Amino acid sequence: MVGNLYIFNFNSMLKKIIINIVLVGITVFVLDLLIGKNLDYNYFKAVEGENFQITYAIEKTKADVLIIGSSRANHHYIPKMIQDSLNLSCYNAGMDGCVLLYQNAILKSVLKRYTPKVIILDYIGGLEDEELSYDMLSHLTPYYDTHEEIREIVELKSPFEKIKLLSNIYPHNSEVYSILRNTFQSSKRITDNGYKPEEGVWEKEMDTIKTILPYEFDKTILAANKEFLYLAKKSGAKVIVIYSPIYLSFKQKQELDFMKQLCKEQEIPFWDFSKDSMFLNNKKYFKDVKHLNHTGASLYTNIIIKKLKKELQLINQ
Amino acid sequence: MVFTSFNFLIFFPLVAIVYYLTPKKYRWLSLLIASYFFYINIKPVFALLTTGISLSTYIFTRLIDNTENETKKRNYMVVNIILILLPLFFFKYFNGINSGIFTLLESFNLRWPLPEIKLILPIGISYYTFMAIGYTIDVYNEEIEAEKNFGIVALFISFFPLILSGPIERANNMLAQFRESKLPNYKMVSSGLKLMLWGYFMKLVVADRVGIYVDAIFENYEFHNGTSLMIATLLYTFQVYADLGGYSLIAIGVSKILGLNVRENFRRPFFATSMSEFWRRWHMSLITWLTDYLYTPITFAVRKYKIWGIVIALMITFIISGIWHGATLSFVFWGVLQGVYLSVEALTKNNKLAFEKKYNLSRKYWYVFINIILTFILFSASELFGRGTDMSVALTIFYKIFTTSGDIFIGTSSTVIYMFVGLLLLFLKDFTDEYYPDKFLLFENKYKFIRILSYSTIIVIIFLIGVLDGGQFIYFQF
Repeated sequence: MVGNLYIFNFNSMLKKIIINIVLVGITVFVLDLLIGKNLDYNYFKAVEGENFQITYAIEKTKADVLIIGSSRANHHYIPKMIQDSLNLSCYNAGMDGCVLLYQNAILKSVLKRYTPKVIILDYIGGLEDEELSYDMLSHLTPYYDTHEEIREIVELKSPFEKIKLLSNIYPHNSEVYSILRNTFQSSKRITDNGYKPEEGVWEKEMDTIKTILPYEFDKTILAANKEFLYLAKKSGAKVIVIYSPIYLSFKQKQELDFMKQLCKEQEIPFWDFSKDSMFLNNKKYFKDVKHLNHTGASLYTNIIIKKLKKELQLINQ
Repeated sequence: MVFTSFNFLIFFPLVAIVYYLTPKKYRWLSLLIASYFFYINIKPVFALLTTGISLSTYIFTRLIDNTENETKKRNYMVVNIILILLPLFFFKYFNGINSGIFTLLESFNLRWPLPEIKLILPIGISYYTFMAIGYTIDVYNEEIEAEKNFGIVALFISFFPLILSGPIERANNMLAQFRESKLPNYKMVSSGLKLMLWGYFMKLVVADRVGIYVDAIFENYEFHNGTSLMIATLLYTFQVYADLGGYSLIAIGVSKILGLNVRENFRRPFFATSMSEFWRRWHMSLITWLTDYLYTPITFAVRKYKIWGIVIALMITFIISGIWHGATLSFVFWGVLQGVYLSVEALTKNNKLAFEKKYNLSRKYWYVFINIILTFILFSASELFGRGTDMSVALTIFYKIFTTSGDIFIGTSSTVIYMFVGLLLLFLKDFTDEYYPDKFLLFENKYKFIRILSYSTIIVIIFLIGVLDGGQFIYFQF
């Protein structure tokens, strides 16, 4: 009798709990829908900032010369200079902290719409199994529903990404500030086709040598790297892989050898500026150990333009 | 599988359902299986260690219980404590001792480099080691009878909500609950869910966001000025509170949903007006463990020295607490600092009380406020050494705080904004709980509508500004 009463109480308790959980679930669902849709609307309405640049790279750019890479790409190549010198439109789709998985997604979205004349991949390595490489795919979650070609890449973030993306807010996690800022800022800022200059010279001490010890490559990132070069080459664009200048003598033989070998196999030029004497240990061109400042970027872009001219002449001949 | 992983959000409801459906007699078994499944999924080999410690603890506590001979009892206890401590010393201090000896050899040019072996610390070892030791001592002191069911002892050592970061539980609270395996009532489940929700908020919205800012400064301390380093030092204390406090709330909440009451671990520590009060509110399960099994016996042993006996006991207890955190000089110094703070308070207690009484200070808001701030600053300063960094790094940061200044590092403005939103909400909750426990109720509001809306809003805030790709809990390393 007591046992039955206990079970009855437990069952009625469970019923009460389940009702409350359902009520919370419904409220969360409504709030998620309202807030999420609103964020989504304003996210795609942006006319400047990082979000806009990603949208532009994925959905809008039709540039002849497309630069893809991480922050080093973003701060090292000045599209306006390339545009003026080569008479080819240029867009810099480099993104801070985003390495090969992200870059592969950008390439796939671009190739779905058009084929650039030149694709430049700024390579830094980053083939290790680092959570950050996967976390940075958060930048792509707003495009998950509408861009089939990048879904597989976004789902690499975690095994439950598909479920998480049922939420309308989740794709904009930690983006609310930038979305609101872009929404309420009325003035349009002129951006140089994705390029973000780094101002100033790093005054403090900088390492001059850094050794990256050999490590096991992440198989997924490795595959993404190979796929990138394969797709880019297959598209018919002129593909060039560049290791742009770096302040310190970065000893990462394993990563460089890997990319050089890959480029050799695919017959893609690999321009290695990692030991370029003009830049190595030359503080005035750098904002920090890995990033050129605007002066350095101008000088470097000029060098790239000259090399590109030669490369493109060879094609035309 | 950590609490903040999506896997856990699937794992736990399944465990709860299986637990509820299992006949009462075998409920402990379902929890034991779940606990080992949880731990094995972190690293299978670690489970061998918990099994070994459980077995040793079971055998020796039974032996203690079955003999009347005091010497034998004592020997059994000592042997078991040594056996339990061996893995902790080996795994925790192996790397530290190695690098210490290497440094010594290098200083005499005697170092002959060969491939190094680095051992990974079995996660949670410091916690279940303390729980096993506590249980052994309790049986020896005849405060509790030795458990006859090995499975229950193994469950006590490996109980999945507590195994990674505590709270450090006691056998006299948990064993009976495991044996009885009562199903929870409505109040327990509801309270457990609320604690879990707030725990997730503390971890994902506050701790991990503050962590992004603090790491950006501490990991590049050479390039930051004293002002930024000071701000990071103060914020780090909030980060630890939100991290371990949040973890503890989730652990307590999970246990409640399973019908088990687990001890509190934090009670709004930043409203403490003295260091002694602070330590009654901060990491309470560790400090009560240390008080019961270390501080009190030492105080008793050195009682002839009166107040200086207390000072000795405090210093020993907190130095051991520092060593428990890690085998580095900075952790030992952290322990020394806590010991010094508390010793000074103990030595000046009577004078302070007389002074406060004379000027009726304890009721004055400004006096309470000053004491709160002072306590917070003292603890935050000590946490600079409790971060697990090298002593030289901690000292450099400490030196820079007092010798350099400049603009505060902002980094990414969104990080700073989200961080302050999280901190503000956490402060408001703790403030109202501390000073107005019956007012401004949200989770406990009498209107269901407000309660539902409050839970939902917290969930939405987690979706909006929580660090959902965040890392591990800070205290997993200990």
